[in-house]
Amino acid sequence: MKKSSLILASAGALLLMAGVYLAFFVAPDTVVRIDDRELVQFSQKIFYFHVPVAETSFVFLVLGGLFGAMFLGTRKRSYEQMSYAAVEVGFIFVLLVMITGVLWTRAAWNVWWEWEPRLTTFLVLTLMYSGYFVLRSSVQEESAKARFGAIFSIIAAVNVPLTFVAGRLDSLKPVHPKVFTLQGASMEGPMLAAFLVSMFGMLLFATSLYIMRLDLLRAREDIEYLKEELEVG
Amino acid sequence: MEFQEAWPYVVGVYMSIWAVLLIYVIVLQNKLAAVKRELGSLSKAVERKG
Amino acid sequence: MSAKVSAGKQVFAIVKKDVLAELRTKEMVIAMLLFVILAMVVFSQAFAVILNDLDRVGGGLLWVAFLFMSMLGLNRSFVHEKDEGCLEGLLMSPIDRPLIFFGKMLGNLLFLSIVELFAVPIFFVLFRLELGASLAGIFVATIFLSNIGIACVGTLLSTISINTKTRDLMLPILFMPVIIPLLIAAVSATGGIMSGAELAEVYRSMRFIAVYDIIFLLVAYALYDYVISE
Repeated sequence: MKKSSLILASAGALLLMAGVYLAFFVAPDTVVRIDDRELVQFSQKIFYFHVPVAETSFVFLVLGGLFGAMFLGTRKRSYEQMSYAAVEVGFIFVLLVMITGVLWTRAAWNVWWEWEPRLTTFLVLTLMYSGYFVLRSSVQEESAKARFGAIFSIIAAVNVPLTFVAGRLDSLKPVHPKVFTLQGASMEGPMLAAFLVSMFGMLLFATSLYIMRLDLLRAREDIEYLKEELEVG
Repeated sequence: MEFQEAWPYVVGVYMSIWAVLLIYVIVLQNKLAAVKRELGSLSKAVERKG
Repeated sequence: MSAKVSAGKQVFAIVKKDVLAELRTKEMVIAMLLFVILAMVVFSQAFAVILNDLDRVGGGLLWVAFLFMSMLGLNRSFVHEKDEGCLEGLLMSPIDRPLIFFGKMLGNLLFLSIVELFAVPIFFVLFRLELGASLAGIFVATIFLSNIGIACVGTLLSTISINTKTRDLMLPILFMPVIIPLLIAAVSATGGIMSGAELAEVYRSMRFIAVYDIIFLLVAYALYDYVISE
């Protein structure tokens, strides 16, 4: 493992473990009152990991789009590799959001799936970025693959906020009663600290993944280059 | 929801995050190692050729 | 180099080319119209249970039919260009690249609108729906606004998909997730109109569609050059 990614990965992992400790042993439990009974909402603990995962995925998908735009602007191959690596890492985190989201929906609302704006957005995201990989594998020529990949990564990144806003638009859909809100008011002191530590750890860990992926892409390119040298040689 | 009902899902969330991330790291490291090996043998071959 | 021709004339020339080709063969508009009507018949039979509840689900039904019909048309519009080497011809002509996009997009928009001009009345008759004159105006405006977005995103993505190995299979995979925000808003607006929801809600959805259109027109304008140039 390269030094930079090793340091980032271990720092990220340490922070994530600290996040687990803070979430379970320091942050206060959320309590809801239902019919005069006080219930500890244990499922709320999922929040401390689920939301950092979601935000990390956003960061990397947006980065993928930005690098894609930079590739189109400069035609430098390295930007295209950065875009691809960022989208792939972002996609891993999108998948994680789906897994954890489904589990949370089950724990909080007693159903496996709910057509709720955030979950819907991520389902669309999953499908859209699956399309990104299908598109890349469906183009043979390397330069066209890079071009179309970069273009679609931009379109997809633009579409993310639009999907989210549209999800809240629909007046026809039944509204599920909100069991708890995630608004800032309920997040103070130890809760916020636990959340921020997890958030930061997740970002560091994801960055290390991104560096590894980028190394792999670059090494592959070197191999192609050497192979050509041998053939021409 | 009370603790008894919720804990499997909470544990499931935390485990699945670690599992997916670790699998991804392992896959990446394996591929990197393989690529490094190929790179090494290729550059030797290029050197021999001069 | 040819004399300066205004942008409007360049765009118009491309639209005219597509319209003339269509007038000669008449294969696209008629096929698309038949497809929409058939889709309505299939829906009415597949979802017979909801026929009593059409005020609320009719909007969604209409948009599913339009969405699939538009994909059919978008695929055709570029298969021609690609197979008969027209795209190369367009690229070699001295037309500005972004203008090629607007020309193709306006052509697609025109065909979509013509098909819907016939399809919407048929839809209202088949499903026994009625709208007052003022509401009908808003209804048509919603459909036209959505058509702009569909034609814009569709033209951009079908130019990409036509260059892949899987071609017409690729377009839906790329197109549907990108068009979903617009679909949600369009269904919400038309459904709201038909079920007599508050007009403020409807206008909110229409505003969203307009924003979506503007954003993707800008994106397409910025990116189209990269899509078609090797």
